[in-house]
Amino acid sequence: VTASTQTFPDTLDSPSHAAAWWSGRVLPSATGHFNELTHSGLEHADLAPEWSSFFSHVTDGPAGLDLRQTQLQRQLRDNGVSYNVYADAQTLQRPWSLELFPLLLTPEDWTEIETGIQQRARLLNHILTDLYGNRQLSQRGLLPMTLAQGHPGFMHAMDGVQPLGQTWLHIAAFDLGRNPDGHWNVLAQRTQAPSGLGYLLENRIAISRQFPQAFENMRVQRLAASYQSLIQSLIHLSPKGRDARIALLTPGPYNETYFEHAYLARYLGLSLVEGHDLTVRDQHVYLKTLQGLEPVDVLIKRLDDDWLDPLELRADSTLGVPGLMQAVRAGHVLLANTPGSAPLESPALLDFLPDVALEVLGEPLRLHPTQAIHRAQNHGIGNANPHALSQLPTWRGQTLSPASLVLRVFALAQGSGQWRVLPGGMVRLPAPGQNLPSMQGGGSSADCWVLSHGPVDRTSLLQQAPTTLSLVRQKRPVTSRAAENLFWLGRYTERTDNALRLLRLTLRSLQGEESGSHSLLAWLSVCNKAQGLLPSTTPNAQQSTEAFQCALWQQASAQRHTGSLGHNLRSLQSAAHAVRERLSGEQRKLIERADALLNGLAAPTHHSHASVQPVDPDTLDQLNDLLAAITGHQTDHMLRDDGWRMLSIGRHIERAATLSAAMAAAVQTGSLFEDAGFEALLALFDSTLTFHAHYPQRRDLLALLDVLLTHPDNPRSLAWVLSTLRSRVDKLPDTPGQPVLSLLRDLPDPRTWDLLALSAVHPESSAAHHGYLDLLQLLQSCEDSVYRLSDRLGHAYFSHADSLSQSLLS
Amino acid sequence: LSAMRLHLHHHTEYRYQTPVVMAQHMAHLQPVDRPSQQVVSHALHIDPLPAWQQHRIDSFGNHCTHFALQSPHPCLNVHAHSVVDTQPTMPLPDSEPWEHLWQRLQFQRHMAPETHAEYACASPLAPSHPRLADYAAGSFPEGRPWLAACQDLMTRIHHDFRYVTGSSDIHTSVLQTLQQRQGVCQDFAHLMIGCLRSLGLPARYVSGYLLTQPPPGQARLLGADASHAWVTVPHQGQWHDFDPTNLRSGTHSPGEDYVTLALGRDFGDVSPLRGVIQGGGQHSLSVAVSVVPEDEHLVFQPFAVTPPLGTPGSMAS
Repeated sequence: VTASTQTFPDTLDSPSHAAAWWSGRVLPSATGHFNELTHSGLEHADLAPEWSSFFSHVTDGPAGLDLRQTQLQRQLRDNGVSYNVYADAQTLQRPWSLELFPLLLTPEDWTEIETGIQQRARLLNHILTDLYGNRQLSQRGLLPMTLAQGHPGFMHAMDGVQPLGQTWLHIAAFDLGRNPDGHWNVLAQRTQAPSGLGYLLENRIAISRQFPQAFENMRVQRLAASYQSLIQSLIHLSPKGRDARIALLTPGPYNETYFEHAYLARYLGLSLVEGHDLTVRDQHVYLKTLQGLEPVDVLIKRLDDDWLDPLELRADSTLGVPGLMQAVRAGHVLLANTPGSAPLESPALLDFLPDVALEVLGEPLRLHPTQAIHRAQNHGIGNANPHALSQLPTWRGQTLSPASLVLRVFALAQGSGQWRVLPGGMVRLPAPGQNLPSMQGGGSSADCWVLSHGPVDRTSLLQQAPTTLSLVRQKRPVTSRAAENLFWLGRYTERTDNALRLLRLTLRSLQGEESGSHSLLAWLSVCNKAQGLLPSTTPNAQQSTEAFQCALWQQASAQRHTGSLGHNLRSLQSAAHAVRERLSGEQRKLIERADALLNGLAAPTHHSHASVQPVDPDTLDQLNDLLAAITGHQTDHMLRDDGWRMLSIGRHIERAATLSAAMAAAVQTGSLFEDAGFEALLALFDSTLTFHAHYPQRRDLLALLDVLLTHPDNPRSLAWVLSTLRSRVDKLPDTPGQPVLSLLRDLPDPRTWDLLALSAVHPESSAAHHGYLDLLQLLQSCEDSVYRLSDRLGHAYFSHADSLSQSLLS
Repeated sequence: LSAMRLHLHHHTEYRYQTPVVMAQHMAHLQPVDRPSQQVVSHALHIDPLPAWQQHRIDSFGNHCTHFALQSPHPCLNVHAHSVVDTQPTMPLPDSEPWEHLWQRLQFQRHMAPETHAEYACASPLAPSHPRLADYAAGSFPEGRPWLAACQDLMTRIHHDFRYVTGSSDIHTSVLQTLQQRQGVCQDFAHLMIGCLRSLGLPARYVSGYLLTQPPPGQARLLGADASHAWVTVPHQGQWHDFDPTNLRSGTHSPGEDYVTLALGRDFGDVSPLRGVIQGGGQHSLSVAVSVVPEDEHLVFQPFAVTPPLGTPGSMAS
């Protein structure tokens, strides 16, 4: 019986009716699999009490579940939860796929898992101590050489090293499967750089929001306290103690789980760093920031061991930090996890663990399949497949359809040889047609609720007691890399904004009454080509307005053409992606929406594809609104630290350069001296209202220059842009050997500009520039000097030379 | 044959197109003590002077020196000068059938493993492969003594493969060597080690030097030698060396004219000088190695190193 064969009553009198209704709709699991819904391996059984309780809160029936599923997908998309499938900058993200139903674990289930995982963590830590210490396990014939010093992942660079606090493992992940008899066993162990700690948090937030009553009433164990204790343990074990600076080391935006690196860093309040953000001096690790080198004491790494240090490990690694292993050996930095744990991930190791556990801990290994086989034989069900995974209901439009699951749980170090098991986990389900779940293969995930008999710990990272962390306001360092990306985010935002304004202005002008003005068309041609909206080979608008307009339509959506609207927006997005942990969710959402809008523009329509499609002015209007919102966010919703200053500097550099060039072109083409061109320039400067408020009835150069060139309060006047630029740069930190003032040395000073002289015609001039030599010269120097400023900033703060490292071998 | 005192000069020079801003290096340039040799003295000169320098013993018992340069420099010179006393080699002893060793190398629960069993495991530059096992099998008929089989394998490699200078680089894989039937000393060493490991048998890589004799009637040229590489295998608590390049072997060392620098699973563990630099652009590298007997050494200026000239009389590297 499926849910669809019987309609759900419009209203249900009580939750127990809801539970009863749902219990009639349970599909049996595949033969031989444990069914999570009935908590049993039998084909026909009743809904388990915890599921009964869960469904008693689902009083709105299948339609309600459909609605929740839709909400859930939108929420994940809006939050930008993603999993990068391939290391490709173009099509990099797949939306995270999350099931509606959580896995429900009873307190008894959890006790079995928790005890077993704590034992595992102790055992694995012991194995590493032995492997890099006195090697008793291989000496006593408990581990073969191929899983000890002979394992390809054995790290000779760590031989003989004792990690801080004797703790090798700070975060260990275990993939569990439930046997047909209802017991769990470990299928895989992940210790080098396990993923999931961020995704499972996001899963929790999303699912608890869909089932708020069930979540509240079912005593679901909370997660925050475990994350907090992990951080406290790291601080405690770190060489600096309470003053420790912790960072999360990511391979970068192209890693498949980059989303969660950024998410975790943000949630835990850590700096997100890439290998080239760090440098090692005298065996200490430092973060390269705008303010100089700042010490780093703890690194939570999301890099596999081999890539950590190109000096001693893989020489071709560009993700690591040269000299890092020296700092680790010296005990100056705590790496979580300590490098060298790769042998623990070997599937072959699992078979040897029972013996090792008996020898080392004096107790039988828990959560191990041999136990399951043993139990199965005792209960006379020896023919059951011990590898069949338990099945969780998934909501597939009207039916509860069962899917096999693997549960990833995490042991987090507490120091002093103890591990805490995060009460929850990441459930993974295989993609249709696959036997084993894998996110890479397109499977989905689910939340995991650990139910408790007692009260739940409601610790929140937001409410932690005053410690040094919260009392002393820590200035978040701005890494050189973040500074560079923010700078480019600023430049591309402004560039996109300018390009869009020019595009709309051009399209309006071509269709309007002024389309006959030769000089206006000439000016538009120059500006569109200068800004890269059109290739320089496009015929000018004066030659053929139709061809010009066609080219504009074509280029508007082309993303590959450098300078096109699409390209600018794409660049904006990728700069934003690289500093996503610094941007509000709203700003990221707006950027995603702008990108989606532009993609819609690029999509071929159902009309004939032979002719070029006109660009929909409504779409451009919407895009304009979105950009206004994005720039608004940048102006009003970001902490005004040095990172924000870089963004703002980027925007003003771009604005100064674009406006100078556009004004110069207006003088040179003469468009400025006709009504249409005059108004168009005002529009491009976004100063139409300002001008007419100041100078009603006037239309002369002097008035125009006052508003667009020297006005101290018009945020689009060059004087305003340059003085803002000056004051932003002025607040940047000095760098060694380069006082910040020297960056500004040839930026024109608007206070020295003489309006009358600038608007005067030079007597010995040619017709080409209508005589305004001084004005043109000034505009040229504005454009040149801001580009020079851009180069100098790059040199002083972004350290390109440092990022280009190479390995030598002789 | 008698004991010798040898002077070793190993000079490495990097010249950079643009100055290097920051550099970190790791050197395996100080010889180890072995039963066949005692190190009398060792000095490492680095120019420019490093901002930081540290010595440690690595996982394989080798001397390893780390150093860092933190100010811009257009070139780097590293000069290692070591004085080593070497002993005459001893002929290879009789040994048990190789299968006996193989048998003991198999994992048995609760039994201590055979000593040095880890060297039977594959390493990045000397991996196991069925094609290597196929080639090696010819030297390992049933019941042949372990060291005699190694001697035979060394001999076959020496005859089957051509020594061609410049035919390979540090990235050449063993399988390429096997297919191309040519290489230099490092390739032959990796090939022989890979062959042994492919049969489940242990072997180590030796990085070192070989004293070469100048052509008759000519004076020794400083810097004319090169780094050398060969193979060593364990048997009854001792190591026995095989040099497939020059077809020489012996207990502890192939001869008193050999000096061991460092030992490891393969070249990757013992590369003489590794580094990561920031900046620098293109670079040129020159390495000059001299092995000089004590009685000739006085006539040389230790630092007046000339680039390699001509072909050495005996093949090295």
